[in-house]
Amino acid sequence: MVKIIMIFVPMLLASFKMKKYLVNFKSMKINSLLFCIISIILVIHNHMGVTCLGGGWLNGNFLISWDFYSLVFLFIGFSVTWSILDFANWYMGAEVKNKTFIMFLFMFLMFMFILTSSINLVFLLIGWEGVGIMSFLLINWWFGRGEAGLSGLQAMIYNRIGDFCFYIGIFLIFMSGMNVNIIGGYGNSQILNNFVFFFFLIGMMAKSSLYFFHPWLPNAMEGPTPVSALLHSSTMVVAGVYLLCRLLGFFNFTMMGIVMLVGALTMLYGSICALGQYDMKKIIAHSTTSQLGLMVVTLGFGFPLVSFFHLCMHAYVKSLIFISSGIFIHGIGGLQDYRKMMMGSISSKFSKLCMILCSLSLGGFPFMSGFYSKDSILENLYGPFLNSFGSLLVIVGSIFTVAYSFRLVSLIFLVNNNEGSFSVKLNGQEQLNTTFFFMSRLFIWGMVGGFFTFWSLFFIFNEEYIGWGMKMIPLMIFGIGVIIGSKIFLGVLMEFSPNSQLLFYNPVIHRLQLMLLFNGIKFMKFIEFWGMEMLWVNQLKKIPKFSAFGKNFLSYKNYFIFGMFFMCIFFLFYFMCV
Amino acid sequence: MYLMLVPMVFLFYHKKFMMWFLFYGFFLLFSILPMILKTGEIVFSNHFSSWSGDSISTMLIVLSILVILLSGIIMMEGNRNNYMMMSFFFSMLFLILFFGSDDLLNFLVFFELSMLPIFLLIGWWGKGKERMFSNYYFFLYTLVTSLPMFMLILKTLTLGMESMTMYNFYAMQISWFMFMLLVLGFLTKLPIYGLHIWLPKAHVDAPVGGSMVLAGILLKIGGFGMMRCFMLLGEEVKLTYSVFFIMFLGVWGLLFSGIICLRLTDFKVIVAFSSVSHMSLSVSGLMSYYYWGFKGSYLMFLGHGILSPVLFLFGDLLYKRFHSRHINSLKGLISSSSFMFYLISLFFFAMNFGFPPFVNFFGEIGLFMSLLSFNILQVFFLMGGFLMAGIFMMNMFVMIGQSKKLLFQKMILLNYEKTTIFLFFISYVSMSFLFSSII
Repeated sequence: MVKIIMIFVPMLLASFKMKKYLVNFKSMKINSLLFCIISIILVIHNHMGVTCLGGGWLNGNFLISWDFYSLVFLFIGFSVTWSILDFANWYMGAEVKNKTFIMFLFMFLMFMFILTSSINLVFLLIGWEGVGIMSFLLINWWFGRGEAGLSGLQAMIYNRIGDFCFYIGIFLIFMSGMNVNIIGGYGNSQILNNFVFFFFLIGMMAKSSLYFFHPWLPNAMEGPTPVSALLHSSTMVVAGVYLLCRLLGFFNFTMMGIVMLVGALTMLYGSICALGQYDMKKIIAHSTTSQLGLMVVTLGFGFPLVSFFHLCMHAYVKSLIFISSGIFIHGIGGLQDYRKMMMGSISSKFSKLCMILCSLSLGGFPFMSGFYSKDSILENLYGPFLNSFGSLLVIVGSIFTVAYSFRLVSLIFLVNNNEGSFSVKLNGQEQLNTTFFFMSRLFIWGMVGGFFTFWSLFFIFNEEYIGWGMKMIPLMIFGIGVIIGSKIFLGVLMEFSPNSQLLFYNPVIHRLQLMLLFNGIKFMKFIEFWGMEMLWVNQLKKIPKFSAFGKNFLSYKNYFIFGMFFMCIFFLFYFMCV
Repeated sequence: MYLMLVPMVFLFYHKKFMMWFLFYGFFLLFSILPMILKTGEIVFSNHFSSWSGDSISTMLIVLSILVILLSGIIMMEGNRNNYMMMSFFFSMLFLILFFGSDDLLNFLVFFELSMLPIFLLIGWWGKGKERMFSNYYFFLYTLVTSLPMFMLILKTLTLGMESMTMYNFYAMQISWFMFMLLVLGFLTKLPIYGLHIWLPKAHVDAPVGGSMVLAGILLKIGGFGMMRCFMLLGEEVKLTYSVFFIMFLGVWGLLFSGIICLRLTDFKVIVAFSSVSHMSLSVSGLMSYYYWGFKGSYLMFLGHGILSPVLFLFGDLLYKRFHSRHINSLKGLISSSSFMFYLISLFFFAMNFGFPPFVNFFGEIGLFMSLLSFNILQVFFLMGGFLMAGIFMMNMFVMIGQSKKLLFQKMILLNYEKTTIFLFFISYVSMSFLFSSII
């Protein structure tokens, strides 16, 4: 108990203390730097610590484990947070409620680390729901805006459906007598094995915005850019994937097939949607969806370590892309439509560099971070699991990933023209002492992080023997993607209306829900009126009228009926009870 | 001892005396708190000479004293007091005597009597012409539905088995319809969905303190009675149709109260319907005859007994500033209110739909667990209700917080409001963390 308080309370205290100090951000930076160092030390020592708490009548042992996954996640989370705090310092400098914002970010981090470090599934729910609420608060940051409130509510609702399925999964585990802790191992219950994890999978799908529960993530871009960079690209939406990494040892063959299918579908859907958007943050949001799908596909093939590696590298790359887009958004005065940013690369050279190279890294350009993760994924696909459909979807999804990245990059930077849109030269937003250092930290990790950690930290030593053609597939994906993204083929996809760009999912599902709901209300009102009220209310309404002689008086007939009514009830009770 | 204060109300009546009321009230509260550690886990244990308290009773007595004291603080502002505090005194007296009652006659008498102070509160100090009508509803629903229980108890008293142990109805051979009739009175008190119509009316037309006392502790009277009747379920009544029907009503109520709340526009009615949904769920958990259902409903009673008064308190705070209860008129809270107010309102709104690791979460886990063990098909209702609870609470939060500053002054919390909210907060958190091993 004491250890837990020692780890989490400084964060809480830091977040509350800061309202009194003027120099807020520096103390936060020092705080997060400290945690980085601590976690580096812990990781290097390969220190696996397990702490145990006793529980109440639930007979639960609240275990916390700081093993490889949670410590590496701790380190990466804090290093990304450090950069994002710097960014938020600059980006939200004109906001009224800066300190509240930082406090929310830190409370979110606290819940996130409860989530990642716990191996008791009930304790994990604390972090799960806490992360949901903090995400709601942060999306709803500019609360005066109606769409922001509704987007927050949408995120909350989708999360809630997933939460309930998560609860059902926990209940099924309790009911079949198994232990709720991941580390203790499960008991032998062959009946419920598949079923339990199906529910957990639905919970994770809602939290990580996989296919059937995906609409909240693009709408969550209503929040400020630091929120998008931290929550919706690096930490919160990977909560589900993280849990899948932890639980993967218990999934059997069928379930892993389902996992793979869901991931492949998400990946394809995300990348197709991203091709048609014109709002920069929404492209990046759909890109996040598609990369999450890729991580889930890897898990479906049975490689949790590779997936976790991609998760970590993706965190750096994606947050840097968000930060660069934030710089452009500020520079143009708050617009997010990239068709108006076409000449923007003139004054923001470092951001341009970051964005181009990060997009390349994401697409899997050789020997950057993304290459190591994607290449190992794509190579491992042709291993023992011959799921051709999944492989095909992954390849197609990877092609589209490169396509949209290239489209984004080319239309902002590589095409400088004036055709039909208002070109803007961005003001000199970018200066050495405001934006350089935090971006360069993420940049270094995004470029060479893969190279340095692939064999040292993550120990991915899978060897495959595949032919020359198969080896060239990642490079060919890259080439084909570039061709598609540059509007030579499939240029038709780019000019549709918003509904068809999202492939009609949102209107169909949302309107169907509302139809069911409103018809349900009408039915219920009908039952309520004729069921219970008719019996009582008619009689009750007559009571005042008995005592008023004159205009409102009811006739003596009503006395009789009223009296008979109550006498019947009285005698009924009497004869039944006695 | 402390109850001797009651007749002194009539002798010394002015504002300063009310401070003594508070002093003695809190003193009473803290003196009963050690009893929590001295009671056994077993229900029907601990019979003292004139007062019996097992673990359920003691905790509910503590809850009742807490809620009534804090409601008294809220009601004391302004110049409306013509012996109004008397009704709070008497309700505290009757509730302590009810929860500590040792035989059936006391149980029955104080069950009916505890309704009286609220009747006075709504009738004399409520607002609006409709309060007489809702008084009728409140009074007659409880009176008429507890009539069969009255007769059963009278019959039992003639047989001589009047103590409050579980075998008092043993000689009567309870069958399924008799169980239903016996329990009907309690079902109206904690409103289960079919018999809930008095609740929105009574809550809306009552003054603040009255709503807080009603929601905080009077609904739990019904729950307490149900928990006493829980032991009766063991014999023949366990898997019969009346039990199924009550469970169905409870679960259906969870879903449909949530759906109704999405379309309501009056803040107090929304909170009243959320009370209906929580209590219906608790009673269906009790009917499932599992230990986790029992514990879950007990924790739900305790958690809800602190949360609902706070929500009514917020409604009154907003009413005093905006002079309306319509949710479209309560806007602009985030930009014009103090930060702590925003956080604490979020806290209590979020606790309402079960946020771990506080009491409501464990209550919900126990209840869902027992209901799903009973019949897996209830999962649709539970899922819908769970979802709706989150939706309407968060929707209300968004609608209240949105928009720019509409008040011309900053929304400041006065001292007594801050004290009450703070004390409720402390009691909720301490109940979750300190008493969870005892409960």
